[in-house]
Order: sequence, then C-alpha cells, then structure tokens
Amino acid sequence: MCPFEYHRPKTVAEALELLDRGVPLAGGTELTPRRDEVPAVVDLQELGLDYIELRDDIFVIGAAAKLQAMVENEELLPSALREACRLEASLNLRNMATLGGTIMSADGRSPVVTVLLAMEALVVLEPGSEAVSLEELLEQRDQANHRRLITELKLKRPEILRYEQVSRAPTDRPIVCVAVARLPSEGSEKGYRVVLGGLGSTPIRIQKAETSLAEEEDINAAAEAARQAYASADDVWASGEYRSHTAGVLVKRLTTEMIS
Amino acid sequence: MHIQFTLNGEPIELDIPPDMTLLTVLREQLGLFGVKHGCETGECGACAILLDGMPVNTCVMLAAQVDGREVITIEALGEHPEQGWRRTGGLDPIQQAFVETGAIQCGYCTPAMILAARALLDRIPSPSEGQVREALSGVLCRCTGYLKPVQAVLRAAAVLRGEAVQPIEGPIPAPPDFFQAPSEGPEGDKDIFFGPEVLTSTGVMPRIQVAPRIKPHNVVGRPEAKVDAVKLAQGKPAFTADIEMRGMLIAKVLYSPIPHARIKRIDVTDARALPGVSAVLTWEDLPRVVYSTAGQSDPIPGPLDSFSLDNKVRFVGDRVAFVAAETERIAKQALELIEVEYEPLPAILDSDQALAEDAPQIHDEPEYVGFAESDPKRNLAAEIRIDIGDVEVGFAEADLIIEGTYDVPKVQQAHIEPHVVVTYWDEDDRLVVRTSTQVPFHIRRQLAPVLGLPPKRIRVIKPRIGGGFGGKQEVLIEDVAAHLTIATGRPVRFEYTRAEEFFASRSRHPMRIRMKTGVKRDGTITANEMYALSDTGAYGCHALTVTGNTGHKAMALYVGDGRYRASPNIRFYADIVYTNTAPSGAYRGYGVPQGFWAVERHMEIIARQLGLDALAFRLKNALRAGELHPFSAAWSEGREPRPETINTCGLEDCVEQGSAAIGWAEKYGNLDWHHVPGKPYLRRGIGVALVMQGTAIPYLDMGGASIKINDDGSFNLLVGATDLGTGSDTVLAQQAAEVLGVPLEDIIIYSSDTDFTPFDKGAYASSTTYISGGAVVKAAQQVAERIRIRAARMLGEEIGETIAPDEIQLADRSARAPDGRSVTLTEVALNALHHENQEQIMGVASFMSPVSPPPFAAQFAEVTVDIETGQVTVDTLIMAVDAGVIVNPLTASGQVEGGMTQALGYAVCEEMCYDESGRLRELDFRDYHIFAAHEMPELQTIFVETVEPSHPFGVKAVAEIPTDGVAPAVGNAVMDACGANVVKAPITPERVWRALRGNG
Repeated sequence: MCPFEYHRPKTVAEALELLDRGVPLAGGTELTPRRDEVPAVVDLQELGLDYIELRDDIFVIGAAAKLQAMVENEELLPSALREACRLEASLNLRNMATLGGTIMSADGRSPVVTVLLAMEALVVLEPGSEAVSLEELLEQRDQANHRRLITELKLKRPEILRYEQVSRAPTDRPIVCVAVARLPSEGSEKGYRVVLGGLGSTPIRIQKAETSLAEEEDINAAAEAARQAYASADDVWASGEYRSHTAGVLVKRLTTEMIS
Repeated sequence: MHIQFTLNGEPIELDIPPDMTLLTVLREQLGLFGVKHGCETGECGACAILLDGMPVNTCVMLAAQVDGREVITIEALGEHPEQGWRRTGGLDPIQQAFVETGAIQCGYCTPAMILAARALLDRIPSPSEGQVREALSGVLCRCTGYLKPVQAVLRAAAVLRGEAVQPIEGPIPAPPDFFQAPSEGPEGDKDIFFGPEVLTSTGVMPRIQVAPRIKPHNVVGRPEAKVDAVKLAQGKPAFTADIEMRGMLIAKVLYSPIPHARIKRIDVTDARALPGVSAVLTWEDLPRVVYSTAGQSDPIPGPLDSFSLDNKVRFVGDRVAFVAAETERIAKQALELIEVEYEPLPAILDSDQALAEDAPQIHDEPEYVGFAESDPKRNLAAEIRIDIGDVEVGFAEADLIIEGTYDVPKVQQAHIEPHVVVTYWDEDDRLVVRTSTQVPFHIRRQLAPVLGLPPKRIRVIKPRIGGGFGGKQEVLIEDVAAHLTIATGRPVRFEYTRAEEFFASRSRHPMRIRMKTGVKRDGTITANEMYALSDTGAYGCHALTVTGNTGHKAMALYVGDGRYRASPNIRFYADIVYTNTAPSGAYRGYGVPQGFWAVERHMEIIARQLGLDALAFRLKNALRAGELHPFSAAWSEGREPRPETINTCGLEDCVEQGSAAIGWAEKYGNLDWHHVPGKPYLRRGIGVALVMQGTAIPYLDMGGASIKINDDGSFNLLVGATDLGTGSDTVLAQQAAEVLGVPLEDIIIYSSDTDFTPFDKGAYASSTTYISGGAVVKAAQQVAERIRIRAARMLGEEIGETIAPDEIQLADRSARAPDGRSVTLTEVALNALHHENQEQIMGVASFMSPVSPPPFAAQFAEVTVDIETGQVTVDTLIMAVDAGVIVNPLTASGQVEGGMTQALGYAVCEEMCYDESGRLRELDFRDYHIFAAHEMPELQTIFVETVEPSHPFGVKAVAEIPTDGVAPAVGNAVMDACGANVVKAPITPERVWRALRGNG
C-alpha cells in the first residue's frame, strides 16, 4: 500500500485547496528524487502558468514556464537571462524544470537566481496575490509554507543586463558568478544592481556596490564592495581568498562594460 | 492510480502506483528497455524519451505526470531491414546515420541521443553544428567525445533533406593534403545564440598516414559499421538489466557511514520481519573467505584483503549488510530497520599519513594474504623499487638537476551504465551470473571460492556492456546478488545507483609524484627518477600493477641521448598505501595518465629552463625503434620480467603530423598569437605531451577464439573477449573476414559466455585487438586451411587433376583455383556438412604474446586562459597516434576521441575529494562534471601507421593511450599561455590563479 498521492488540479483555487495535503510539483526534477519525503504532490502542469510576457516594461513569467522556453524566447527576454537559464541545467532538465521550481530549489550557485536578483524579481504568491521580493522569498524558503503557491514572477526590464561566471568547464556550476544590471531610472536615481553567486544557499545582492555605481559610477568601489562581500566565502569548492578576488574582477569587468 | 496517454502513437491505459517514476513504468511494466537507467537525478539523460516532442528525463518524472500526454520512446523508430518475407521500412535515417558513422560505441546513451536528434530535426531540418551540439547536450556520453554523434545528426539531416552525402569510406586523406589544415572542422560556434552558422563536414574518416601493406586488405582497414550497432540504435534489450524474470528480487546494500570502525553489534530482526523481505545477510551469515576484487589472471598480483562482508568497515561506503526484497522500496525500508553499533577507529584519510609510525592499521585481519612486499602493519599494500642503470652516476654527470612534485586526483570511470548484475539458479542448479563485466572468466574463477561453489557450477554471461573503462575489471557486485540468490533460491538483480558508483565503486589511484631529472645543457637526459606515493584506498585491488605501470610506461619514454640510450639511468620507486577512502582500481590508462602528468609537466619545465625547443628536446631523449624497452628487463606486473625490444615507433611522425595539424610552428613562441584582440585579460597557449602505453601483458594475457562454418558459408565466431562498447567484436570479426575472404556480414560473432566461448582474460591492458585478434586470425587460418583442402579436391575432381590446397585463394565468398575456376563457400559448406567426407569445418586457437608493443602518440592542446580569474578554456585537442595498422578507422578514432574527452575531464574538472569525516564530496553528475556535447573543444585524430611484426595484421593498441597526454598537454599549454605552473591536476581556475601568483 502506497501512501503517496498525486493530484493534478485544473485551477489555482483547486491547487490551493490541495496544498493542505501536499507540496506543489512543478517540473519534478528536484522533487521526484525526494518524493519519499512528502505525502502528496500537486502537479501544476494544467494551471496555465507557463506564459512569458512583457507588460509595461515588466516581464511577467508564469511560475510553470519551462527554463528551456525562456532560453528559446529570443524575442522578449534579454540574452543574459536566457544564457543563465541555459547554464542552470542540461537541456532535458530544462524541458522539465520550471522557473518557480528552480527558485524554490536552487542554491547560491544558481545562474538563474543570480540574474533574477539583478532584475529585482518579484514573486507573486497565492492566495492573496501578494508580491514579495525574490530576496525575501529566498530567506523564507526553508520555513516551509505549503499553503502558498508561486504563480508568477515579475522582472524589471533592464536597460543593460550582464552575466558572467567562472567554472571548471564551460557549463559546470559556477564557482563565482556575477550579474549586473542597470534598471530603468526611478526619479533621478539610476537603478544599478550587482549580484554575486557561487556560494551558500542563495546568491547575494551587493548593495554597497550598487550605491557606489548609482552615486559616483565608481567601478573600483563597486569591485571593492564585491571583494569584501566574498572575503570569507570559503567552501569545499574554493577559498574565500580566491572568490573574493574573482568577484572583484568580474564585477569590475561587467560594470565597466555597463558604465561605458 | 489510473493513467492514459499516447505511447509511440497508440493510446494506452495503465494502473500505476502514484509514486512510480516513468522510467520504472516504461521498463518494468511495459518492457520498453530502450529507456536506460544511468542516474537518479536527471543529469545523464540515458533515460530520455520525447514528451510532446521534447526530450525529457524519465528518472526524475512521475509516470502520473504524463497522463493525457504523448510519449515517444526509441521503440517507435525504425526496425531491422531484414525480417524474412515481411517488408520493413528499415532503420530511421537518424539510426542509420548513427550506425554508419561510428557514433555508437557502447550504445547505452544511443537511444536517448537518437531521440534528442529526432526532436531537433523535427523542428529544424537544417541545423548548424552548434544547434546539434545543443540538442545532444542533455545526454551525457562517456565513450565518443560526441564528435561522431554530431556528425551522425548532420548526416541524417542531409539525408532527410534529400541531399547527397559523402560516402563513409571516402578517400583517406593522405599527403600532400595531409598537412593542410582542414577546411571544415568541428570547430566554430559553441552557443546557439551567437552565430550558429558553421557547418561541420559529414565525412567521418580520421586522417591516416597509411603504412605500406605487404598485400592489400579487403576488410581490415575499412570503416565498417559496428556489428552490434543496429540493435543498439533500436534500443533492443541487449544489456544486463534488460531482462524480466519471474520472482526476481531486488538487492540493496547497507553501507558504512564512518570511515573506520568495528561492527560491535548488528541486529537485523526487524528488517527480516518486514513483509516483502526475502533475505538479510550480515558478516555473521557468510563464510569468511579472503579474496581480491581485482579481476586479474591467476595468481592475483596483489594482496588478498577483502571479504564479501566483514565485521570491520574500512571506508564510508564499505558494505555492512545485504538485503533482497520484492521491490526496491521494501529493500530500502529494510535497510533502515537494520541496527548497527559501531566502534569507531582512528581513520587515515590522507595518504601522507598512512606510513606514519603511529598510524592506525587498516588491515589487521589474520586471513590477510600479502603479495611481494605488501606489509599491512605499515598500511603498505605494495612497494616498488626499480633501478635501471645508476641514477646517482647520471645525476653526477648532469649539468643541471631539476626537481618537482606533481599531484593527480582520484577520478571516477563514470560509465553511463552502472554496475549491474542478475543472478539465478538454472535448471541444473548451476548459478548463472549475467553481469556487466569486462572479465567474465576472472569473475567465474574468483567468485567461486567466495560462494563455496566450484567454478564449473557457475556460468557467467556478459551481454552488451554500457561502458566500463576499467571500472568493470572488478569482481565488484556479483557476489552480492549471488549470495542473495543462494540464500533465497530466487533470481536477484543488483544495480548500483549513481551515488554508489561514486562512493562505493572503484576509481583512479590518486598519487603524489616526485620527479628528479639530470640533464646536460644540450638537453641530454642523464638520469631520471620518480617516486610515487599512490593511494589504493581501503583495499589493495590493482594496487601493485596500476602503480607499477605508472613507472613502467611513463618513465620508459625518455631514455636520454647518446651513450645514455644504450644504458639509461632510471629509478622508479613507489609506495602504494591503504587509506580509509573508497578503493582505487583499474581505470583506462591504468596508472599511466598519473605518470605522464608528472613526466610531461616536468619535461616542459626542463625544456623551458634550458631554453630548448619543447618538441626537439623530447624527441632527442625519447625511446626509438630497435631499442630495448628499459623496464622490460626490470618489472612485469609482479611476474618474471624478460627483455623486450621496441619493433616499431612512429613517434617522430606523430610529432610532425600533429604539429602540422595544430599549426605549432606558427603559434609556439608567437607573441601576437598569444594575445586575444579586444580581450586584454585573455591569453592563448599551446602545449604538447608525448606518451606511450603497452599492448597487453607479455607472456600472460591470452585470448581464445573458435570459428565454424555454416550451411550458407557464413561463420560463427565465438570469442571470450569482452566487447564493453569499444567495438572489439567488430574489429575481431573484421580480422576473421579478412582471412576467410568474406564480407564482415558473413561473420556472426558472439562474446562472451563462460559456458561456450573460449577463455579470454578479458578487456583490459589495451589487449583485445592484438591478443584476441591474434587468436581469431589463427582460428580463421585453420578454417581457411580446411576450406582450401576441400575446395582443392572439389575443383580438382571437376577436371580430373590434383590441385594443391595452398594454391587456392579465398576471396569474394569463394575458393578460387589458379585457373580461375571457383566454388562458393556455400558449396564448400554444403559439401562438408552434407555431401561427402562429412566434417564440421572449424578452428580453435589462442594467442599469447612474448612482447607488449607500445603505441606512441603526440598529444597537442590549445587553450585560452583568463589571467585575472584563472579560468581555462580548452579550445583544441589533436592527437597523432601510432597504434600500428588500423583495423577500423571509425572505431579506432572513436577510441581516441572518447579517450581524449575523459582525459579532458581529468585535466580541468574531474576530482573526488573527501571531507574530514571521510565523506565524499561528489555523489552525482552535478558536482562531478563530465563534458557535454555543447562545451567540447575541437577534437582531431591522426593515425600514423606502423606495421608491428608480432601481430599477423601489424596492429598495436589504441584503447588507453588517448587518456595519457591530455592533462599534461593542457597544463603545458596553460604554462605557455601565461606562465602559470600548475602542478596539481585538475587545472581548476583557483589553481591557475594561485600559480600565477607564484604559490601554486
């Protein structure tokens, strides 16, 4: 007798009710190997949450949009976001894995989450249509709240977006990765974003670097802020010394391109 | 739960457990064995199907998810072109292209690749190479290096568009064209987004500098399609796990979570009581038989230090208990119910600490049987002390002594088919072991005492193998299933997970190697010394022989020049120590890649220090034809050494051809070329490594073959040799066809089954084409002789004369008399089997060689280094190889391309690391990165033929040498690019960065 339940709701409302019993199943690439740990799954494939749209300079992407659909959406999406999706997983997995599932399972070495943070992603949760920042969601991710469902992401359309990573092989997971963006100005302030990844549970925003860029276009200060942020970024894959140096190099390289 | 979906065009309804993966449903409920298991996390892609036209991985998909959708598996594509009176559509053009181009080696990932190609070509009929590489990138292949699969897809695309394609057997590119850079190559875009316009050639022949033949060959030397390719392209149930048996149980193993401990108490009461559990075995249940898991000839040249189950565990991942249950889920639940109380012991996790006075003793069991110098009290599995000449004299005569220390990591073979075995009692109560092995005959001999059975009551069947690379030269898991079949009387299947492949399987010995070399200012090497500290892990399988080959091959290449050629001064010392990590073992190259990382990095440093040309310095000191193999009189795998002269050496030609192909003269030392316009932080570099290997173990390795004629003039060829995906069945059958004067399709080859194929020591030591091939040729010659005698009589009777049998020629399926009259082999066969003086024309022969002729090669690499981050991109790998006469250019170049690709991982990204608690960092293909199709450098293979006189067709080995040179060539190219001297492989960004800062 197998206690495991599989549900495939047709509407978000139905899905939310079913979340009392189990957890959302997006592509399944992360959850399927761990299915012994959950009593039931709620498959999101028929909720129609796989759209990729641009509305008023905001990319609105359904949580069940496949990573590969994003890679192939040359028309709308910035190439750095598409490249980050491509580096996130292999093709066959990208044909399954969704954007929502990825942000719930990805760690600090995720190219996609690094880029999404640079695009100031908002995550829309149901019920309540509450939009929380991706940063906030990532912080709360571990306090499992099975009752809520990510339905879509809203990303600012950047004027400039760049991503670069250092890895052992071209599509290996990054040891250090950086995304920088210039977002549309709000008032007189230029909206620079600098995000570092390659370590820990999530990539991190380097607000000090963003401020240095916004206030003085000071590339060296931005690079220094990145170096400091990763000063003790040690793990089994690289030393803090190396990560700190490389974060500075990449931030300088990408912001130089962005400022000029 | 109930689901319905479209499967291969037909609607289907099924009842399934809701937690079952689609992979399990397809294989076990529907019998669609073309879907393969390679991992459990979706990274390898062997389990791919098309879901609504897109490739997805079924191991990470619930079957419930496909309810209402459309599934295509490989079984939907093509069928065998010959099915009797029924006309068939034949193979799908993509399958046909994979068969023809040599894109199939082991064939385990082939169905997934073909489906991925199908998805691509359905959407994009004229894809660029970049798009093809992207499309195949979701399927990892450990055999091919992806070049031929990419060419196959491009070829299939052209066929589907209705275009003419180049014949496979195009003219062999030969001088003067030989030196020109290829106008079309597999280089170009690596990314679908930016410039996907470069198209690769659909011609697949490698370049060959053909050696003059005494007489022209018809089948040997031709790019024949692999004899097993058609079934593999269709995903037929050809592999170990692809069978269904009533009542088959699933085995699981409980592993130790701590690196070194005694088992104080083990309680399996609850596990045994769990419904659905058929057996739980611990050390208390099994006879205590000490053995070695290394699959080698008798007597095993290493310590006997293993038990099926023991009351002590020696690494995280050592076995504690075996379970057999009705389902995998129940077996896993049973493991959780086993209670074990451990008494932890101090552990050795670093080989540097193994020989310390106060080090804990890993092997203190009284049953331990040492070999040669092994000394378990000192944690010494083996010790090697070889002195050739006198290095101290050589050092005294040197102008300069250069020293260095070099490190190589533990790495995994990573064959995509895991270790898998099925055992059962047959109707005679003989134990059948159907297993994915390179060594079926060693398995039978070595397994027998462990099970308490005589070898004659065991039958080992080796079906198709999904890659081995040395990892399956081991009696690794056969005992688990066999003990459980003995305990339960039922069939048992045991298959490793990918994580088990990493933490519980075998791997390449990590080594720390010290080099000390004396040279004259003119570049003459006067003495060369190597000391290797080799880490065999918890057990001594292959300990002596792997590390022995580190010296025997890598230290044999440079003998010195002038008078030093006749009497070189070489020292090779090694200590092979136990640690509390997963055992090391056999991995393609067998110690030699470790040695050449040290030797060739060291030679580069010496050449640069002396200001000598990197190529000239090496060739000045390298071994040449006619000289004594310096180690041959000193060491032979723990057996009696006998002097051996090098008959053939194409090394100088390899250097010439390889350097022409890569443009060495224009790039080496050219400052302009080293800089990348517009990218001030990038530097290009070019590097080389010269390497040699061996061909089988002399006076030891033996293969047997038998051939019999059938009514239609076809032949059954039975060999014990073990095709593990390399194509050895094909090249063996080609040699038989050549002797018998028939096309390859008339040879029906079968390998291997200990009940009815002759003995063969198995697939290792780069031996099959040469050793087993020698046996095939001799057996075929016996058959040819019987055919000639009979044909001479038949043709003589026609005209009332006597014809001498040796005047009969066998060609074109006929036996021809000097006057031009002939009888067909069908007529000969019918005459022999039915008409007169009836006999079964057959031959049985074996082959053993007194020499191990080394293949030689020049490996070139081109890299781009980011000098700010240390990131290395390998742009090009070109290998020029002297592997003797090439029997099949496609399978041989496939060996080189695939071998270079494995070695590329060894160079830049593959590494297994343990933490302080003895746990392994790499447990899946996410952390253990192996190269995918869309991130590959350009690969080129050049063959420089020599004719090795010790083999009937002049062949030498090609299998292992491609793994030897890539890492040092890349290391040398990095040094050329930016001066960074990285002494520890793999060459990671951080190591390059540290080397650039002078603390590498």
